[in-house]
Amino acid sequence: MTGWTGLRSPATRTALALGALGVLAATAPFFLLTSSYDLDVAHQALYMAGLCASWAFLAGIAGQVSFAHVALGGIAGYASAIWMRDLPDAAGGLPVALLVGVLATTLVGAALGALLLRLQTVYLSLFTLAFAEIVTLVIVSESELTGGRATLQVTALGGDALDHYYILLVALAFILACIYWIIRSPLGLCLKSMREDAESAAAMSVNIVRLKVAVFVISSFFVGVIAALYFHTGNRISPDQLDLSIMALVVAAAVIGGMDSPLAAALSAVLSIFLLELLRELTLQDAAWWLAVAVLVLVFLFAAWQVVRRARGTDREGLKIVGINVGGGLLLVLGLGALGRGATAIDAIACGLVLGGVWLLVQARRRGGGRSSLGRLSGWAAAAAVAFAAAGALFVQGALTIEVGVWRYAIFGLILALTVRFASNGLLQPALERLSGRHAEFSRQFEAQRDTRDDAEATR
Amino acid sequence: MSPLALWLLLAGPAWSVVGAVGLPRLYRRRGQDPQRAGLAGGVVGACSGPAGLAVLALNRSHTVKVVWLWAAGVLLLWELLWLFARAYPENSCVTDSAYVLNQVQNGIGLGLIYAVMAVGLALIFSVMRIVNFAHGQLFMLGGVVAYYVTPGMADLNPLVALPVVAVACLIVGLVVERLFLSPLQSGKLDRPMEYALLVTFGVGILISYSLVGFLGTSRGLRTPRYTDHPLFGLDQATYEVGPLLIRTDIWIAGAVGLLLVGLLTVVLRWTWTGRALRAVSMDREAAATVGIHPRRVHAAAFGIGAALAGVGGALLIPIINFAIPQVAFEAAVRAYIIIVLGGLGSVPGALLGAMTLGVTEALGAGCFPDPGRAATYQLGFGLVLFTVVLLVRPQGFFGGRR
Repeated sequence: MTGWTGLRSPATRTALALGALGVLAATAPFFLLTSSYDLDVAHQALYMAGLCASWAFLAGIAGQVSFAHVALGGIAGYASAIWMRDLPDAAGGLPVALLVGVLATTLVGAALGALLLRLQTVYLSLFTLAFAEIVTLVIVSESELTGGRATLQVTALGGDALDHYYILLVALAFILACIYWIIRSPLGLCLKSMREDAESAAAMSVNIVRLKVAVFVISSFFVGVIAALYFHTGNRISPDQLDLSIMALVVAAAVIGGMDSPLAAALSAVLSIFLLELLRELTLQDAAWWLAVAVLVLVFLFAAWQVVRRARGTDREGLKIVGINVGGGLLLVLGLGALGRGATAIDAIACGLVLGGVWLLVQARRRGGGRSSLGRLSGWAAAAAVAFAAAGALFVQGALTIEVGVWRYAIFGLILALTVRFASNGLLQPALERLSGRHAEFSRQFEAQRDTRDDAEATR
Repeated sequence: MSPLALWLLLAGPAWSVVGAVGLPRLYRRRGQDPQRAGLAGGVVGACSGPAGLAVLALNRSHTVKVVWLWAAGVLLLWELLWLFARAYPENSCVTDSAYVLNQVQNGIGLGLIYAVMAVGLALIFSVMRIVNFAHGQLFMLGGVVAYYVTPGMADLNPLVALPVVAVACLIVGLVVERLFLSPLQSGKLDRPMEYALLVTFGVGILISYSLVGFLGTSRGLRTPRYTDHPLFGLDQATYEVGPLLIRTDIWIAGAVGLLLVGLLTVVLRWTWTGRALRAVSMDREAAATVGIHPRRVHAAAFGIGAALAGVGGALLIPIINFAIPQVAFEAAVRAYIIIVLGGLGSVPGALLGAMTLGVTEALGAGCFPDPGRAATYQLGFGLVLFTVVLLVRPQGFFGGRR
């Protein structure tokens, strides 16, 4: 066993993981995406994945948060659609029209970059948000050219939906490959240095303005490629597809996946689109019941987490308490389940109070009954009791139906905010790093660096 | 077409390109500072051709150049207006000065309403050094709260909803600040601006689609109008004052907006909280040294900012119908344009910026040759203004570079 490090080598693992992903994506139409509806959703997912990857490249790697991606994509779609409509006999036909779309997007991106990137980053975010809003307005008002609020007919690409799926997949793979090629080139290092500290990078003779414009143009080019292809998989395009709410989806998916890694962002986009599609029709009957259970479980998870956090490394008693706490909580959940719909609001309130009380006592005992910790814990206990009682009251009120489909974007927004707040690397990116073994490599490097620094400080 | 118009249309852009490309090169070759020489060359070339460019190329005095640039800017504006008048001689803006005056006063009124929301955003920026990307959604939330509260108060003017809206949005703002923006004070974030941008953006989506969940998407949410339950007997839609035609609803809301901005100024100047807010916005560390708790000041700034956004929405919903959730983005775009105009984080700048934006929008929409498109392009004129400001004076009216 010399030379070959087997599955421990990051390169091998990365190659294997990417290969598996590629095979999955290539074979998905045969067992996952069987209906034409599924394929439509898949087209949208691949489009969003392209946008997310290019957005993550711009915002995560280069640190320029733009809100214009969807609008830029729309410009590509409209430009090529109008070209095909008004010049149907021009040489080249559809391929030239697609090129025109990509070119239009790249040019607009270059103009935006030249206007904005001399300024602080925040101006880019502000201006691109305004720009995206205005693009939709212009398309709606210039109805002779663009068809206005109604849809504009588009010449579809040749082939059927399955072919379109593969075309988009290849485009996405091309975009990701380009992005990773750039990230690993010297240009990528410049980008990262610019994101971390623009002034120091400038002092190291990185031309910040030119670099920013270049990265904006490259990112717009990727948007143009995927968007021009995507809008030609269907046969119509409308201003609704350029709405800022779709941009919000792109940002949310990319950040939830992990905006420092375009691959994670793209995967997250695919997963998000399919998940949102699944949630669209979901309606929870007896939602209050689920709400009550969810509140209970969340409260207990939180309690357990708190106890573990406090008990870690201090004594063994804490862990015992965790066991009692979680076990008691599960029993309560099961009991409530057994009660089923026969429970009353009083039961719910009683449960909530018992829950809060048990937790309070456990915590107080663990902490030796200090007043400040008692005060803080009683606050949490009271909140838990109130929340649980409220859920119980709803429960007793009867069948409360929640249409999850209507709330799915709100949930998505909440997940975005929570991800930024508590998991700044995103949810998928750490998993990907772990999978590829890069995580261990990074942490080794990090520790080595830290040791060197500590040594240096010690000697000083 | 007259020879002058022809010259302006053909030679102007050509000389503009010559100036924009040539002047920075010339300066660079001479070792002078080429910064903004391209802009100066473009403007001067467009309005005065080779003569103006020669002055910039030959003269080395900075003052002369600045004066010349401003004069050229004014001249260019004048020439553009003149061209507009030549092209559309029948336009009401060309023939009817009372109409223009009316558009201006309408715009000022609207600007005063926008100012309430924008001032909140400026306050948040000045204290916390972040841009709140949930501001438009808080604005919409204020409008929706007013929509629910107003009919409950039968026979009363919609203005009575304002305190309720303010308290509701204040609470939402405090909760958001506590839950999501508290890491800003830890100093451990690599890029606090980006963190705040993304986290508030997420909160914005949450608020936006929660409202959609409650209300469904709505093309037009409307409440009783200001004139339905008249205030001080003002029950007509418009009043004629000399040549002006005053719109009652806009000016009632505008007056309240001005009052609120004035109130905020008083609070900032003379109360302890206000002084703490200003102190933190000037120097965070020094403020902390003299015993100002940054957490409370942050909470106060974000809470007040959110409340102002909400009140802005509540002031506007009796005038325009709210389209849920699009209205949030439109409001946010206006607020961003305004604070960039005024200088990020400047409260008086935001007031002035709001009026500038209001007047620009009103004049733009009023004078646009095709009235069918004018209304949809209203926001577009703001974007033009935004672009011009970024080109000419990116720090805004009152912003120093910080």
